[in-house]
Amino acid sequence: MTAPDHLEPFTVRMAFRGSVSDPVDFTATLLTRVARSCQEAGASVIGHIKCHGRTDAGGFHCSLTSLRSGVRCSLDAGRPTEGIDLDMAVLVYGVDRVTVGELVAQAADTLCRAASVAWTADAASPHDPHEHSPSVPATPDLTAVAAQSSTEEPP
Amino acid sequence: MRLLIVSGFLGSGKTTLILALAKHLATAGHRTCFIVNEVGEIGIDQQVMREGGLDVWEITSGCICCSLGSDLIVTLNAISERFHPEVVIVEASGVSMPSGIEDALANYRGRPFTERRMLSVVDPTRLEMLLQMMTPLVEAQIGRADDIVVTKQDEALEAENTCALETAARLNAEARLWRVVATDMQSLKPLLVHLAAEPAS
Repeated sequence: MTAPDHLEPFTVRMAFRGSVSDPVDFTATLLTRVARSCQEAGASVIGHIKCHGRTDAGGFHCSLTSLRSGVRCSLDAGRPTEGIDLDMAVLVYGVDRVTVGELVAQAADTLCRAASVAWTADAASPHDPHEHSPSVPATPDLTAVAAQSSTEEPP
Repeated sequence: MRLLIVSGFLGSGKTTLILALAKHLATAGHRTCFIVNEVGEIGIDQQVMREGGLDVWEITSGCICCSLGSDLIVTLNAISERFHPEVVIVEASGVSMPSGIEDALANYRGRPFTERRMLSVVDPTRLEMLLQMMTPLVEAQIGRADDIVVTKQDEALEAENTCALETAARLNAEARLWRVVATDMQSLKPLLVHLAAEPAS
């Protein structure tokens, strides 16, 4: 737990491998489970839980700002796929990033066990959004990847 | 060069609105560049925008209202010199304080802005809660805006819309108020026409 008005952004790059009949529904379920877990862990505000996914059929994105509103995705349904690459941002207040990382891992694990899908993740290094110097990473059981503040031009 | 800064709390609908505005500006023949600021290390919004066909400069891992203010200026200078756009749209992170962005812009030395407009996107379904939990941030985002866009009209309850309208009137009676569904071009059209219009000289 952190202060109710404290935000520790958590971002993660995930890869899911195995047969998924509807990658959009799969992703929406994951986001909902993450949101519910964060709320149960004491999140004061769900700021934004969002992701961008890629399959061999193309890209899509999903977004959740409250459990009442639910997940909104750019596609109603996805085509069956053998893999999803997913970038996810979990921006919730009142839960520290280590806990958020654990909750994401638990949600992914539960979902993937039921669907017989393998998954891996690389969590980006954390920082305080209003601090000049990124703090030392304190990552959960996801592999940390160092990342500094960056400005990037279009490819 | 016109500058439009789109502010608003996390998840208020900034990216969806910018995607619609980008289509409108492209159709109207405006040369537009986009800068996206996200607090997380991995940018999601810029991926969504690129998928929507936009060229996007991203500023990640912090906020342009404080730690990354200089990055905003460097990016604006580069865009101004190399691309000569008519319009630059900046999507501020959802935790950006408008005063910090304005402070950063004081250091901009590129082509002068012919117009500088701040737009605040408000999610009425969470506004009452956010006003209690994030009072200074949400009040500042609404209070400094030239235009206030109340989104999610397809799901907001009447009481939530009333709260949004009363809050806007209390904090910023001067701003123009818009109620939209950001995914519905019909509901967006008056706002898009207004934002695309050249400023009166």
